[in-house]
Amino acid sequence: MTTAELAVSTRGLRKTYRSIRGRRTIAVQGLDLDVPVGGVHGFLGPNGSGKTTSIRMLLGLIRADAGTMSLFGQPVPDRLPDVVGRVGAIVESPKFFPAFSGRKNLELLAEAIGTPRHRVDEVLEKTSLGERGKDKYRAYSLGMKQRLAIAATLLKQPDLLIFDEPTNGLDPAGIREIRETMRELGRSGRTVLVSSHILAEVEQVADTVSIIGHGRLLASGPVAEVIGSRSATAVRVGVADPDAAARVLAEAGLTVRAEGSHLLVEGSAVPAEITKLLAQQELYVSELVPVRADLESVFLELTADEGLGAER
Amino acid sequence: MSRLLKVELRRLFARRLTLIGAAATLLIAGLLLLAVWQDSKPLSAEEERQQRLQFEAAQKDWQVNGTRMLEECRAGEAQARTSDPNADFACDQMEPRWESWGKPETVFGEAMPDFLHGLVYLMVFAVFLIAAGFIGAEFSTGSIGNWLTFEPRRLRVYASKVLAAATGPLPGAVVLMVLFTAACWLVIGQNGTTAGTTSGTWADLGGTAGRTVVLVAAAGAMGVVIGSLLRHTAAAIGVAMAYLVIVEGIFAYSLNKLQPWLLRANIDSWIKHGTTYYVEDCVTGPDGSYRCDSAERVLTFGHSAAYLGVLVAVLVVVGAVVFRRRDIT
Repeated sequence: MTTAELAVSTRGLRKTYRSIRGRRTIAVQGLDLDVPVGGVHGFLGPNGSGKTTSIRMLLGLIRADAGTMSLFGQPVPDRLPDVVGRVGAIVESPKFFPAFSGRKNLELLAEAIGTPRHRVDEVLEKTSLGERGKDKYRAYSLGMKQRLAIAATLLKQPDLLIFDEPTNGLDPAGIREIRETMRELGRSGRTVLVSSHILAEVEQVADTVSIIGHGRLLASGPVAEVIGSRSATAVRVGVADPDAAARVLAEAGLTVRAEGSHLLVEGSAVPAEITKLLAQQELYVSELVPVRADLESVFLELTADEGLGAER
Repeated sequence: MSRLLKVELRRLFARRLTLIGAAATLLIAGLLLLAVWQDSKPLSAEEERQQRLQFEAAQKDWQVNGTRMLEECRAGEAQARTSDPNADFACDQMEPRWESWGKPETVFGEAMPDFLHGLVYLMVFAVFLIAAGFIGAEFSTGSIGNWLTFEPRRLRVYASKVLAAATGPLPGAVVLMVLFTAACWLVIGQNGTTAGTTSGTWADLGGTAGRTVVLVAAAGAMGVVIGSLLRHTAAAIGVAMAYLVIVEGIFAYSLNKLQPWLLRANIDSWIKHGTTYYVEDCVTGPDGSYRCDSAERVLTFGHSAAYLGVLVAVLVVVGAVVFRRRDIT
């Protein structure tokens, strides 16, 4: 994939923070990240893995110590002014002037980038804030603040939207709303880069995913491929005599472990083969359920490999 | 750039702190006017009667003891001149005179520069606070990061903020000076006299107003620079207050020869188109005696213009470099 086909690309990106006392903390170490144009891309990693730092570097808010970055093929931060109009971003929590109304905040941003004022009404309507636009930002609920931040990103009509932990602190209805918005944006041909440590959230909306830990890329690609590449599927087996069944399956070379009153057959187990093996020994299955690996298990597996102890 | 400046000016005037600051400045200017009224007010009939009685008592005392007091004064002066040839005890002015007893009439042309001086300091302080809050709020709310995702050219963003804080308050400052001067004209016309106000007087006042406008602009720029460097309104105000108390208060008092390099003396000189200050000149005589005399020194307008110009330029550049390179976290 060429850089022109990538919305975001980084190579060897590094960032080290130094405290006043001289203590060094490596936030990002040699990150290679590719986000294809179009669709939703999940950017996963435990807290402190370097997601927000990477996003801040892409947006020119933080200076990288080493490495290269590009947005739509344009090297950043050098050419960021040329491409920033195509990028809308919410980094961590929404940040606006609390004493101004939501509308006033958007009007100032719109004026700064030369967007006509009617666009403010459009994005307020689009994010269901039309009626509350005149209220002071400080009076907004967390969900409304998040919606206002999305409205702000839409002022530019961007091709790439970067959402950093967009559902932090939201109630279930708010989470669903944000998820729907991301899906809709992805479907409309835009690229959505969503960073999160909440795996279920990303799995539900993302087409592709990158998993990082300790500031390094651990895995990347379409969600199905990433899941398939790391965790084999398993089959849960219900049977009247689990001990006898476990012996039969183990003798056949399958990895079996007890899971309550059931057996979990791991590895490249085919359900039909399990049925056949057990039936030959007059052990008849009462339940046979393929258990698919999910992003969470892949994530935990990868981060455990790296000794990261991902938060759950 | 002009678009960014326009937005920053809109934001500046939409801020509540700006409105509160402007209202507080107006209120204090009103109190200053009240002080002008009080200062220029002639003595009441009762006060004048009391003054007259005291003057007559002093005259009687002079008639009885004047000759002796004059001789003592001249003897003391002669004694002092043995070590200091310039010693002057002003013995000729010892005789009581009514002009020095009563309250002199306030003359607009003479008193107005001092009245305006108080207003200048008020405006400079208010504009500094408003400007520091203007940028401090952006850092404390984190909205500066959001802003930079819309306009990543940091030097433009910085310049627009400095320019907005420097130019935004100017119309208000001009209007306030005009209103204050007009009000003082009316008050002094009522209590004292406006006679003798020449075109030269107005030219001098115009010059003071012009220099005040420049100073107010510099205060706005400095507010943004200091607020940006410290990233917090309270920190910027704290630094300003600490400077006033520690440097201008304690330090300037004990090391008064450094006054030409301190802010307040240079601001005074800038407003008044040159000023004087006093230092203690201490010498050890041949007989081993240690003597200190207060000596007047001149601080020229050129010195203060260069001092303030360089100070503002250096701080603006330092602020720009830090703003451009700083990580926004």
